[in-house]
Amino acid sequence: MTCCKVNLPGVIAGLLTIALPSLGAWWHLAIGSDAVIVSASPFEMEFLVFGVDMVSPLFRWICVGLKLGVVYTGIVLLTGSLLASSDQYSKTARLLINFGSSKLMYLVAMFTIGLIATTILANQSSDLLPVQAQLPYLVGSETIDVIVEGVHLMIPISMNLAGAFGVAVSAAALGIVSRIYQKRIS
Amino acid sequence: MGERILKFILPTIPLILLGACVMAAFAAQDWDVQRTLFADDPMKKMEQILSPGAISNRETIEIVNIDLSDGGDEIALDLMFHSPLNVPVTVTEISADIAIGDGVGTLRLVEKVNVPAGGSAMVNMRGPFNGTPSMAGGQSISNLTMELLIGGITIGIEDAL
Repeated sequence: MTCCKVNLPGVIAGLLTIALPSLGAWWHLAIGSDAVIVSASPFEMEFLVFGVDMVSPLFRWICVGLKLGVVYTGIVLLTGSLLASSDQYSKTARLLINFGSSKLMYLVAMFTIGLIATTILANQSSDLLPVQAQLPYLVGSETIDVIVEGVHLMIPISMNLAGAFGVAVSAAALGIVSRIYQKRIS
Repeated sequence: MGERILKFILPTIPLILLGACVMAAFAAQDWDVQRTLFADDPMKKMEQILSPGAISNRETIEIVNIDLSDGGDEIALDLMFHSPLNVPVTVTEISADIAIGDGVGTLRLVEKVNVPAGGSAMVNMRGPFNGTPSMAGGQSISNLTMELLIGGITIGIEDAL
């Protein structure tokens, strides 16, 4: 076994991927101060309307499934990256790294695209409602001003990305790097 | 051969995990599709936010007391604000015109009032009064506008009466 043939980017990416589900939400949305609070990631979802939980039990269990899937992917990537140092298991290592290196990238991309698509839909649907607002994409603040039948509403909205999202992006990028690195060393 | 098996097993395991979790979701709710998708009845969830009084005929604003200063140049109005919501409400602004006999006054909120969830709170208003008041002639309140803060959302209501 050769130490320097260990796929180090893959080891780091694997460890980050395993830890990722326990790092909390990736994105936060607040409407008002606590009227509506959303904390979202592929592994958990908190959706509170004046403190009342609105998340579906099915969705919660799907998040558990995704958590297990991502931890599994991280273990596969870590195992492949460590096996890369062995000539006997180099083919297996490549197979494991190829599988584990790209999954997190797809998850991060789908999550980000999903958020952006939801914001685009919300902004376009404001033409149909008595609400004129251009919500920011992923990060930012906006106050929606609405007047409906003599009632004037001012609704502050703020959204931001959490540190866990940065870890996810880093892990996904390192996963891709590990794939390229494995091609070079094998 | 081993590689082929591995290529099959690797993507299959996460699918099995996800499928097992979906089955667990339904099993945990006794295979009730609605409860699995929505947990509690959505109407019950709305009732948690709206108190039962929201659909009753209880007035949100109830006039408790009207008082004139000794000189007759200042008027005070005390209102009872009954919250229709099961969430805390802050009354940040209220203004109204009041007419008593031949006199008219303009009332403003003395200070912000916090109304507990589903509860009531006294709102004190003060303002200058001009003219000759006559309680015998009754009183009328008009142009009542108010501003409420609910969960960080500001709601301005004109002609709240």
